[in-house]
Amino acid sequence: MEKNRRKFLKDSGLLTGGLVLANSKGVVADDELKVNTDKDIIICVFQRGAADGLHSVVPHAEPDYFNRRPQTAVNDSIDLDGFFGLNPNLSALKAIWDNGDLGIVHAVGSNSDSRSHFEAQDTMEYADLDNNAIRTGWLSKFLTATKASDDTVFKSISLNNAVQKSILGEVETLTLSSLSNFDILTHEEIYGDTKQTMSGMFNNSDIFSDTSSVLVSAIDTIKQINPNDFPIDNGAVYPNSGFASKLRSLGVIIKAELGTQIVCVDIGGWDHHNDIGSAYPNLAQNFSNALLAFYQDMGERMNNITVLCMTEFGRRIAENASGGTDHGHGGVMYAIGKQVNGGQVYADWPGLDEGNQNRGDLEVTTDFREVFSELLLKRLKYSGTIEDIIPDYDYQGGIGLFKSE
Amino acid sequence: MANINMISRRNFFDSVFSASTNLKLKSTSFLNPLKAYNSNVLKSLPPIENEVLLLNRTSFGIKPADYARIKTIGVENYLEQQLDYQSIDNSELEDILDQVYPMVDFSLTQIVEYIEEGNDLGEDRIADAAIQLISETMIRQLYSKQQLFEVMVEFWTNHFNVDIAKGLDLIFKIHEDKHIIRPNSLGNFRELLHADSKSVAMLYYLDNFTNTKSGPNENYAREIMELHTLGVNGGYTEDDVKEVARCFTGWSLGANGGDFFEFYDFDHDDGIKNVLGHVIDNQEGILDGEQVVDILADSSATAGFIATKMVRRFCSDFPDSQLVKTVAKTYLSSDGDIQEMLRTIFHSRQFLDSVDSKFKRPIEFVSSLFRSIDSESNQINTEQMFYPLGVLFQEYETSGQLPFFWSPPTGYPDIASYWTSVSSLLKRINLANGIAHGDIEYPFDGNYDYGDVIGYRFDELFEENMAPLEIINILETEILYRQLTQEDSLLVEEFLLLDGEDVSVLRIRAALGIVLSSTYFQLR
Repeated sequence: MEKNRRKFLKDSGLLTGGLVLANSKGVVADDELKVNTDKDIIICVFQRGAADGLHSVVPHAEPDYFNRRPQTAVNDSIDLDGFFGLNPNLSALKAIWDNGDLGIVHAVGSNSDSRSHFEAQDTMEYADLDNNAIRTGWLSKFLTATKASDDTVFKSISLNNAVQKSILGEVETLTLSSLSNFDILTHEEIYGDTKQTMSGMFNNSDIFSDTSSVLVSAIDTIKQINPNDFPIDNGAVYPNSGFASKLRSLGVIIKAELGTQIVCVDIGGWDHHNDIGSAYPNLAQNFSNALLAFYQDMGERMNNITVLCMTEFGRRIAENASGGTDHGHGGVMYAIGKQVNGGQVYADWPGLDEGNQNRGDLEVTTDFREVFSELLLKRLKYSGTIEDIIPDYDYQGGIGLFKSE
Repeated sequence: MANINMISRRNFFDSVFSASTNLKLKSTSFLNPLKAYNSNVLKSLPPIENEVLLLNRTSFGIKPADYARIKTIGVENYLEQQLDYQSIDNSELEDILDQVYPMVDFSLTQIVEYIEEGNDLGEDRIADAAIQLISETMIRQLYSKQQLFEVMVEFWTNHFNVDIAKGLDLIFKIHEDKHIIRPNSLGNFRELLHADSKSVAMLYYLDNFTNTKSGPNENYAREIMELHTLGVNGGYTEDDVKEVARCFTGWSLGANGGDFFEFYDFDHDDGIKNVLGHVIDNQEGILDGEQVVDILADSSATAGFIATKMVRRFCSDFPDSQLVKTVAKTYLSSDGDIQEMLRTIFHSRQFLDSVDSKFKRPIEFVSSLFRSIDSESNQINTEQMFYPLGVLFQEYETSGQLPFFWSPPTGYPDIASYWTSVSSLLKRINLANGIAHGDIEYPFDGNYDYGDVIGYRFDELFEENMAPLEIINILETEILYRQLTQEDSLLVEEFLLLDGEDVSVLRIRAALGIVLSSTYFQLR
């Protein structure tokens, strides 16, 4: 309790004298808040619903692809390397690819045979195939293992209402989808008194003491941030969507240098059992344009930011009768950042012919845990044992997706 | 009244679709045992009366009249009345709901006709019936006198989860709610399971309508065992999944979009099947699936699984294994009698020991706010009863618990760790304070000021310059139905006195807001 209380006082600025308010450039955190300069900020994007990897990163040199998908095959993909091409609705990603800052992993996924969304999402977010175990999120385990006295309440952020399982665990995560109205809304005359009495009562109760101290210190900090002080840079244009506006808010938080390390954000709607031709384009454009805008907005900061996009599994090789695709196996991951060995599709390509399939689905030839491990070691500079975060996994040395400096 | 209905329809229409997109973005995370709150610490909160415990667990929040009633007739009589729900006169509410939400009683054929009629007129009416169902459900939770019944309707709706945003379930769900969930919610589990296995909404949601001899689909077969009966560790194998799927081949939707399930013999796999050690070899094909339902309903794994979920609902996020065993025994000896299982739970020592072990999910928190501050004179059959609807819709949508909108078949998590986050705490604080101050803007068209309604109950309870200890006493007896700890009481007293001895209305309202957002009010 005493520790919590000290943390609360510290986070709320009562011990350190508060955040230093700076010049017209906006809020500059004091030195104590400038942490993690040696590690990247990791942004985990979860494409919920099992995004179709074959429809997104198209193996256009494989005749089988066109044979198995007579109605839905993408004929005008943007060639990447002579074998794979990007769906034109993802063309925004091509700009990042051309800069050498986008790496794609294909036929990636889990060795678990589950084709259930919720089981497979759990497996990935816990990075643990044992679904009878008591599990916590893989990034949450990293946060617990590397907990430091100068962590701020902005260290782990979920841009959702509920905390994703990836960062659900011992360390309290700030949930935040927008910077506006992130405050206790009440009459001005009693605002301060109300807040103080409330947090006093929450601190007396075990359930909410951590949550409420994170809340109060986040409110106090966010109040000092004026998004106008952190304009969108480099001519980036965020599309008009929930996903994009979350990334824009995140951009402000990153520019304000509040000690952020791990961020999770979801983009749903990829479960295209029917008519992928009409459902996919808007979603894919929103997804890729928002990522491009964020990448451009961050500019040189991408030296210390790595974005990793994942989905629970890919979809069946053959399309179904209703112009969609059913649940499959191997999928696609995208890694974005200047510490990514980009301009490459990483795939130990299993092929699409029957002999190499997994029950009619693209075989998984890269274990998602290999990518997670490589990220932990190279970009989060994790120095502990991988097994402590990813149980029962034997790291193979990585696929070379990330730079290791 | 028609007016309100039209206003709400228009606005709900937009909300339904934005909600369906928003909710797809949500994570499905829940259950974090490491962060489970420590009930030993909570036990240090002042005790509550057994009457309050029972009201909290069997309703969507305590209304002053409920409290008065249970104090008069006693816990046992109150429980028996709530179980015998049909004897509770709810006609005043039913009459008004019949007028305002007529589509909830439409047959599926009528709904389809209504939509097609709209198409001819260039109106998109596809979601109208669903909006009426969602609205009516929220209104029933707020006002029905059959509170335990509504709690169980929500429980089974969640157990047999169907996502209303999935395609035709926008229409089919109307049928399932009226004809399958509600009639069986305080009845018998076996009958409920039989009825639900023939629910068009479920057959569609879990794809069994496409399950045929030539193209089997295992989705429903898996979920009826994993989620509806045995539980994931209930002893079935992947072979059982395949065999159960064979038994349900040909179970599909009515040929003409009719209201009811239809069995197609030519799609049915007639071979001999082996399910959980039972050989299934029937002359009439439809008997295969029905026999599977009976095998599952008979299973002791099912008894344990249903008992676990009920104990989790009514006692604790971490069900006491002894109580689960006792409730499972009741299930087996009563052949799945839901009322008997509830009696076993509410009569148990573990129930009485479970004070402060359950946290209000969004629907319970928001409903209980309105139920606690609603004036008794704000009664059914006035326009005012619909005022909260917009707030409910908005809050449930943004909190991720809009009725019938959970997309995976698991149902909304019934565990505190899923629902407690920094932003959800902030939402609760702001709603509670907004309501206490009468500042919530009525989201429809700005013509209504919910503050007036709140003010009514507020003025019944409080007046300017009241003594702080008197104010605290009213907050304890009329809002929380329990005492604050000395520590917390002192904090509120200090708060009230910060401007001096004369306590302003603003400060009293703020104190009400503080109490409504406190841990005390967030537990149930």
